[in-house]
Amino acid sequence: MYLIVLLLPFINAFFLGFCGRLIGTIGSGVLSTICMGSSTLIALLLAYEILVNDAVVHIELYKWVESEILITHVGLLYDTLSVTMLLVISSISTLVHIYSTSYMSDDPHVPRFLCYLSLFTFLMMVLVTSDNYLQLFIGWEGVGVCSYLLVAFWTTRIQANKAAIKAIVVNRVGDVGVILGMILIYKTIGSLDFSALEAGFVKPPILDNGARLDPWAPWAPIGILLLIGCIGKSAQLGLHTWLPDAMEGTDSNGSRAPQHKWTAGVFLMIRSFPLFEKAPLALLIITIFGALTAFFAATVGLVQNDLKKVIAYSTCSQLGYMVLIIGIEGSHNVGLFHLFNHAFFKALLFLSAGAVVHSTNYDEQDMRKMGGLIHSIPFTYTMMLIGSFSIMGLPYLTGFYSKDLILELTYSGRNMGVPYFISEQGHHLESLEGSIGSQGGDKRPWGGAEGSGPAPLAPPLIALWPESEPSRGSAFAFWLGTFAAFLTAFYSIRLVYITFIISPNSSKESLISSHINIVDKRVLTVLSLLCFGAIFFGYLFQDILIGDIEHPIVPPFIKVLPTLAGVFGMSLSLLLYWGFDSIGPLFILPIYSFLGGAWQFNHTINKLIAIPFFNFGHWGTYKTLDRGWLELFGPQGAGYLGTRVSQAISNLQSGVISRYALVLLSFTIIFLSLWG
Amino acid sequence: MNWVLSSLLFLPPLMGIFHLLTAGALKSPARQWGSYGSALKRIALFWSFISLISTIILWLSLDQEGGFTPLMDIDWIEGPEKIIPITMGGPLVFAVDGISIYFIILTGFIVPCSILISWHSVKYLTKGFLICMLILEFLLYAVFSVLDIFMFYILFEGVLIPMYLILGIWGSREEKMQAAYYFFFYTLIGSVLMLLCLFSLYNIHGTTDYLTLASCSHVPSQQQQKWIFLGIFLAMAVKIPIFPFHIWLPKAHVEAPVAGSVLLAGILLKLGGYGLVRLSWPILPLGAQNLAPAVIAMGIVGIVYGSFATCRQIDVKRLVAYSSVAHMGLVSITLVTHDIIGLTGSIFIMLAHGIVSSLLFILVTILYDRHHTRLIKYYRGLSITMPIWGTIMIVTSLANVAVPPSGNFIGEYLSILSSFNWNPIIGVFVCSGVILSAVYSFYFANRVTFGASGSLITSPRDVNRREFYITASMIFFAFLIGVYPIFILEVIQNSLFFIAL
Repeated sequence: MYLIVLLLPFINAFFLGFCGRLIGTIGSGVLSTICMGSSTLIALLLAYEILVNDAVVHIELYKWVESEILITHVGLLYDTLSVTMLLVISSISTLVHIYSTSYMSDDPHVPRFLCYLSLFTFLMMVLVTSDNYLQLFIGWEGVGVCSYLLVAFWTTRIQANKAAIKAIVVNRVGDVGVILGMILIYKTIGSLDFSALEAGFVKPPILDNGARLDPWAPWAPIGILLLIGCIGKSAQLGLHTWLPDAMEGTDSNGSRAPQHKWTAGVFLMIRSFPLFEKAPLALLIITIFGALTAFFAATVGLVQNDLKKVIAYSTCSQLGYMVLIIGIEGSHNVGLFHLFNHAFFKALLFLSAGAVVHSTNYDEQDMRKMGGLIHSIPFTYTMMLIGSFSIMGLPYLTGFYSKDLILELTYSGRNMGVPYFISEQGHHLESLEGSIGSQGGDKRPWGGAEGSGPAPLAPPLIALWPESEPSRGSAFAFWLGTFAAFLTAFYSIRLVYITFIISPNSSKESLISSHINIVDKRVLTVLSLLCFGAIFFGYLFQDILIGDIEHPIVPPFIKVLPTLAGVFGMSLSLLLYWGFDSIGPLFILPIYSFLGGAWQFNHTINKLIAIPFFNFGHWGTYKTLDRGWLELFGPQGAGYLGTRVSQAISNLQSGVISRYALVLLSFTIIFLSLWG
Repeated sequence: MNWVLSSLLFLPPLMGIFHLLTAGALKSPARQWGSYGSALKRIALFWSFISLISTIILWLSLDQEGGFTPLMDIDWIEGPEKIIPITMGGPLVFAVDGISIYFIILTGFIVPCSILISWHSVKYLTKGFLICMLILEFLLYAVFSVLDIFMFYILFEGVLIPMYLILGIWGSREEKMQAAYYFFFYTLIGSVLMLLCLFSLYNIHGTTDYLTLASCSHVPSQQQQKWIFLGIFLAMAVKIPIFPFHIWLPKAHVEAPVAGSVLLAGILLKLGGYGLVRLSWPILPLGAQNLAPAVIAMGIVGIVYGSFATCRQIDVKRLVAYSSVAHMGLVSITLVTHDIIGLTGSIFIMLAHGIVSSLLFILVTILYDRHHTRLIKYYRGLSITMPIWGTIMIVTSLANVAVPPSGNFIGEYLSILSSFNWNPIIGVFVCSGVILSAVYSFYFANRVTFGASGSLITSPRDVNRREFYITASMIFFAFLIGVYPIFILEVIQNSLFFIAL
C-alpha cells in the first residue's frame, strides 16, 4: 500500500508515455482516472492510518548511495506532514487529470500531456514521502523538469519555449542552494536522513576536526541556503520571474500542474524545520522574504490584465504567507495548513479560469477582452467568486482559517530571532555565543532539545520580549501581510468584476460561443468538488492539522484587521470599477507601469546578468582566449616558430664557401679562447 | 597467471582482428549475408559483443573486496641477464581491480555502440576502420589493466595511433589534418614530460612496478614528488583535458568521424582521469598534496570557462565538446581533494559522462547523417518530425545536467561534497557549473527539438531501429547507474581503500 500509492502514478505515466498511441485519447483518460483515483483512495486510507490513528511509518527500500560515512537509503517516510501533502497531491492531481481529459479533448497529444501530469504527480509524491534530503532532491529536480516539459507542452510556441528554459534555469539557481544546503547539513550532522535532524541535536554534531560543541555550527547558512532553494521553487521574491512567464507562455492547461511545484519549496522548509529552530537569523530572513513576497506579488497582481497572470501572482503572494509563517517560531504547521487550504481554493480558481478561457472563442486570456460572461457561464462565475472569497479570507471559508491565524501569529511574534537581532544589534553576536556557551555548560549541549520540546533559545528570548506587542520584524511582516490581504481582496474582486460583471468587451460571436462551449459534466464535477473544498476544508481539517496550536491573544482590533482589510479592499475595488472602466488613470502612470512590469525584475536581470554573461561567453572566452591567446601560444605559435627557426637554419646553409669559412673560423677562435 | 580471465579480456578483440584480416581470404560464409563491407562490420560487431559479454563475466568474477584480480604476468624486458643486464622490475603484471573494471566495461560497451553507429557513415576502407577500432579496444583493455607504469606509458601513447588514424583518414572535412595536428601536438608534449618523470621515478625506485611504487610512496622527497607529479599531471591534463590544454578537443571532435568522437568522449578523455587516479595519490601523495590547489584552480577555471564558451557555440559537436571540458574540470578538481568521496565521485562522473557524452555525440551524428549540417541554426522543431529522437535528446540533456536519478547526479553530488569539504568557496564555484550546464544544455535541446519546424531542412526521418537500440540502451544505463549505484560504488570504494589511502 505504501509503495503502490507512489507506483500508480508512475505506472500511469509509463504506459501513457510509451504506449500512448496504442491507448488512445479516451483510453488514456480512463487509465489515468483509474490509476490516479485509486492512488487517492489509498492516500485516504493512509490518512486514516497516519493522521487519525497517529502512527508514523518508515520503510527503507534499499541502500542508494554509500561513500565513507555518507549512507543514504531509498526510503519512504509517512508522517503527518507527508501524508497531508500526499492527500493534497493525489486528490488535486486526480481532479486535474479528469479535468484535463475534458479540457484537452480536442488536442492530439492528450496521452503525452497526461503522462507529464502523472510523472509530475509521481515525482511530487517522491518528494513528500522521501526520508532523506538526497531522495527529496530527486523529486525536487524532477518536478522542475516536469514543469519544464509541461510549460513547453505546445512545443511550437516560441513563448512557451522561452518560458520553459527560464523556468528551469531559474530553478537551478534554487537547486544550487539546496545542494549546498544538503552538503552543509551532511557536514554538520553527518547524515542526510530526516530522522537525524531531530536526533542530530541531542547528540553533538559529528565534525571531523573534533569540535563537538561548536557554537558556530552553520545553522544559519544552512537555513539561508535552503531558503534560496525555496525561493527558487516557490517563486519567492528574486527568483519569481519564471512564474508569470510560465503562465503567459503556456496556454492555460500547462500552467495548472506547476501549482503543486510551488508548494515543494514550502514543503522543504516545513520538513527541515528542526534546522531552522537552530537558526534565528535564518528565521528572521525567512519571515522578511515571505512578507516581501506576499506584498510584492499582491501589488503586481493589482495591475495585471492576463487572467492567469493575476492568479499566478496571487499564488505567489499566498506562498509568501506560507513562507512568512514558517519564519515565526513554532508555527510551521500553520504553514502546512495554509498550504493544504490554498491547494483547494487555488485549484478551484485555476480550473475555473481555464474554463473561462476555454469558453471564449480564441482561448482569450486578456481580461480586458472579456466582460459580461456572467450571463453565458454563470456556473463558472459562481465557482470563481467562491474561490475569490476564500482566498480573500472572508470569515468561515477555507482561506479564513489559515490566513487569519497566520496574521495573528505573526502579530504575536513568537519569533525568537527577531528580538535578538533587532533589539540587541550591537551585542547579538556576543550574547548568542554566551547563551549557547552557557547552555553548553550543563548537560544538554544542544539546548534543551529533548524530543520535540520547544526550541532551545526560546525561553530566555521570549522572556526578553513582552508578549503583547510584536517585535519589529514581526510587525513588519504583520503589516505587510495585512496590506497584502487588502490587495488580495482588491485584485480578486477586480478579476471577477472585469471578467464577469461589466458590460461585455468581446465580440458578439465570442459571447455566444462561450454560451455554447458550456462546461461539460467532468469539469462540472471537478469544480463542484473543489468548491466544496474551498468552502469547508479549512473548518474540517483544522483540528487534525493544527490542533496543537492555539490562537494567540491579541488585541481585538488586530484580530479583525485582516478581515476588515479584505472587506475594505473588496469594497474599494467595487467602488472604483463602478465608476471607471480601467484602473489605469487612477494610478500615476509610472507606478502603474512599474507594477505592470513586475517591478522590472526581468529587465534588470537581463541587462545586468544574462546579456553580459553571454557576451563574455562569446567574446571573452571563445573568441579572445580560445581562438586567440591559447592558439597563439599553443599549436599555431609553435608551428610558426618552428618554421621560422628552421627557415633561419636552412638559410645558413647557403652554399657560399666564404660563409662556411667564417663560421669555421669563428668557432675555432671561440673554442681556442675558451680552452686557453 | 589466470589464463581464463586474461583470455576473456584480451582474446575477443584479437580474434576479431584476426577474423577481419582473414575474412577476405577465407571466403567466409559471411559473404552470403550481404555485401562484403556489411559482412566485415558484422564480424567486428560480433567480436566486440563477445568482448562486452566477457568483460561482464570478468566483472562477476572480480575480487569484490577491492584487491587486484591478477590476469597474467609476462617476463618482459628482463631477459637472460647476460643479454640485457638492466631489469625493469620483474615481470609485467596485468591485473584488474574495482577501479579499472568499470572503465573496461565502459570500453566494451562503447566500442560496439560506435561500430553500430558508424554502420553507414564509413564508406571507404571499411576493413581498416574496423581493425583500428578493435586494436583500439585491445589497447584500451591493456592500458586499463596493466600494473607497470612504463608499460602504461607505452600503451597510453599507443592508443593515440589508431585514434590518430581514425581522425585523419575517416574525418569529415579538409581541416581534419589541422585537428589531427593539434591532437598530436598537445598529447606528445604532455607525454614527453611524462616519460621523463617516469624515468626519474625509475631512477629513484629502481623499478616501474606499480604496486611496489605504491607501497614506497614516501621514498621520494617532497621536492622530487612535486616535479614528478607536475610532469605526470601535465600529460594527464592534456588528455582530460583541463583548461589551458583543452583546445585540441573541440577541433578533434568537430573533425572526427562519429566513432572517433564517441570513443574520444567516451573513453579516451577518461584515460587521463584514470591515470591521475592511479598515479597521483597512490605513488606521489606529497606531490599531489602540494599541487592540489593549482589543479583545483585550473579545474574551476575549466568549469566556468568551459560553461561560458559552451553557451555560445552554434556547432553542435563543438558544443558537446566544450561541455565535456566543463564536466572534466569538475572531475579534475575532485581527483586531488584527497578523500574517498571525491575520488569515488570523480570516477562515477567519468563513467556517467562517458555514457552521456557519447550518447550526445551519437544523437548529433544521427542529425548530421540526415541533414549534413552541424549548425544549430538550421535545426528547429525536430520534435514534430523526429519525436523519438527528440525524446531521447531531452532525456540525454537531463542526464547531462545531472538531474537526480541519473548517474551524473550521484557523481556530481559526491564531487561537490568533496570539494566543499576541501574548501567551501570551491564548492560554491563548482556549483556555478550546475546552473550554467542547465543554461547550455537546455538552450541546445530546446532550440533543436522544440519550436515550429523550419523550412531550412528537409527529408526528416526519425531514428531507425539500429540507432534506437543503441541510444535507448545507453539511456537505460545512464539512469540505471543513478537509480542503483551501490553495485558500482562499493567495489570502487573497496579498491580505493586498497590503493589510494
